[in-house]
Amino acid sequence: MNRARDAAGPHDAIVDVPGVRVGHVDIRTAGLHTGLTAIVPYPPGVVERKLFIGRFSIDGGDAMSGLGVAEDFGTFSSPIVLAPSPVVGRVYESLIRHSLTRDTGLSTEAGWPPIVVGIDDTAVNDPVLVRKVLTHDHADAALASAGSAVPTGNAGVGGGLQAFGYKGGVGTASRRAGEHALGLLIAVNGGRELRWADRILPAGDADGPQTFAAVVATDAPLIPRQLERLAGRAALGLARTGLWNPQTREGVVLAFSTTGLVEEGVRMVGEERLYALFTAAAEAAENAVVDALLAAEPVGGLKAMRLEGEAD
Amino acid sequence: MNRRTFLGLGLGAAAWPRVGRAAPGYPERARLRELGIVIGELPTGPHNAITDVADVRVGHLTLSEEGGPVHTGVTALVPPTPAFAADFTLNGNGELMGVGSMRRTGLLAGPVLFTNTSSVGAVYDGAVEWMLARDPDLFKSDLQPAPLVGETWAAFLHDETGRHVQPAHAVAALDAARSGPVQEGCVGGGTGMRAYSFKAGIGTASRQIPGDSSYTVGVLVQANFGRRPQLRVDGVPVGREIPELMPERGGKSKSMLAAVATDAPLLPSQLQRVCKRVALGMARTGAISTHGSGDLVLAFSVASRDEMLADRWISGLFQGVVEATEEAILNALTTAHTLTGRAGNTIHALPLDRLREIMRAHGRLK
Repeated sequence: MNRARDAAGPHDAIVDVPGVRVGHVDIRTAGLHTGLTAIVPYPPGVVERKLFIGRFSIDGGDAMSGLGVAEDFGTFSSPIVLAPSPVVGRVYESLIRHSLTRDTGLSTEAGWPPIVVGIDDTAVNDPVLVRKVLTHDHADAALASAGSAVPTGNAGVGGGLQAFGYKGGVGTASRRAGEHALGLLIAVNGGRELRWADRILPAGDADGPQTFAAVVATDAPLIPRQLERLAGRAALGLARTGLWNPQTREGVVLAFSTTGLVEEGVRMVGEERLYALFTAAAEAAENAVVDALLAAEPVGGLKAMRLEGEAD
Repeated sequence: MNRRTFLGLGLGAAAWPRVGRAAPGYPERARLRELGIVIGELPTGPHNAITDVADVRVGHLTLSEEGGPVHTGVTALVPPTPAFAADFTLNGNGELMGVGSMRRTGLLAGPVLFTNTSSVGAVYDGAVEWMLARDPDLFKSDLQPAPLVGETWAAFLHDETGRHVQPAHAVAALDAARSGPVQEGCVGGGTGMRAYSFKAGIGTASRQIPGDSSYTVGVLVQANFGRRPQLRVDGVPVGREIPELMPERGGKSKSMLAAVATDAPLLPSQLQRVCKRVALGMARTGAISTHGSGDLVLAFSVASRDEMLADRWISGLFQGVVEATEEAILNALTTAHTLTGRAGNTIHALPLDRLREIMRAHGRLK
């Protein structure tokens, strides 16, 4: 299904970027199909965790915490947690607790401010029930499970998503760009007609929230301005699939580099090498959307999309 | 039950007099104008507070035991929503959670809460609970209403590591919100804060803008920034003239949160211009906005969204914002009382007799 399978990394996943790990927790109690997905951008045991970040946001706004530091300094040091919108405050508190167990204070080198991105999964879940069930233990479990396997589809925050009229979910993909790796993880939520490989698949019966969030990781050394541009190119890939469309209500792409900020110094790739990364970001984004849809399993009235056009 | 705990229950706002509050054993505190010090040219609103803007309500929940390790709380600002709004980051080392969603539409769709740094998540969670209780369909709305929760760092006086602020405290602060006089100083989110090496916290002020429509602009700040020698009051270098009463140990203070409310009909683009004038008001008191500062500003208009103020009239509002910001910061300093908190750390209050003396010597007393 990949347009350029041979260009993908070994896992065709965001974890192909060295040091990046993903953890999920699935919540299936009380009839819920929800969960949390954590992207941990640094290897365990790394003390100085500050990395460069850039962001592209549909309509210039999104449901992300940690915005002040990310925008003004272009840095972050927190795991990025994708969470159902009704519990973003609680998960933020979970990340504060998590930080305080490791470090004596809260600093921009040590996990503060937490980055939590809200995803609307009310197509499947009752927000009041999600608020009753989700606890700090769930956030801890998502972080503790962070590793280099990336379950997709209904895993983590993907449990309750709706996309293209079918069951949505979490997807991931990666690309090589010269000597560098680039990976992307996305919560696919929204879209009507899926455009993929010169085909247009008619929307399924279901309707739901038009919100998504994607995270791009790369080991190419990029500064914040370059990462903003990279995030925008990933959004182009999302537009090609129809996930980002005129009805999209809220959408954000975050992009970070695991290597740009080195103690007091900075490394950055030159302008001429950026475009291979831009292409990789757009392709990985497109690929990850389809990955999410094909991995998703039916939930309630939401059918799973299959590329033959047959839903099961 | 001592006085501070009583305030903590959110019952104090109506029962306690607005001026001359004093913790036992400490000199009386007052607002700047009550000391005969007047900032700027424009007249204030009736309460000289952000609540002078119609339908804007303020409530505090305070957690503070003299000598103990817990000195924080929640200050809740409840505007009529949705309201056109904008924000401005003077320096970004801070959090104003929820602001991204607000920027998308230019609409403030929930209450605004200020607390200490490590309590943002719990306060946000409580604010969502409070909003859901009023609108069970909250998450079915196209607008996705979100509260805004801001923070400043209270660790010199307050135990930021302990999980002291619970979601229910945010609910209590929101429930306590009312019109009229606003408590200032060591209350709500401002309880553990310090500015210019003096005790500070919450401050507010307002201005009436001359003109046919007589608009009002109000500012509320949570002040936690500045070094002593930088402090200026109405241009007078007061900080340099009071080198004593410094905290015995270090501990930096860096940040300020500000909310601006107005009944002038402004679009989000105009409100963003209003936000920037808060930085000028800060600068008049001596702020330089350091690297470590989270100087975050929000402005909103309670006016109906079917008209707009012509840009050529906006400068009067700018002047009101600059004046009210300066006075709100100084009110935080003159109303806050000396406080001893975590690890025996003490922050002294700005001595009002000295302040009057210095201002008199510079010919600034009314």
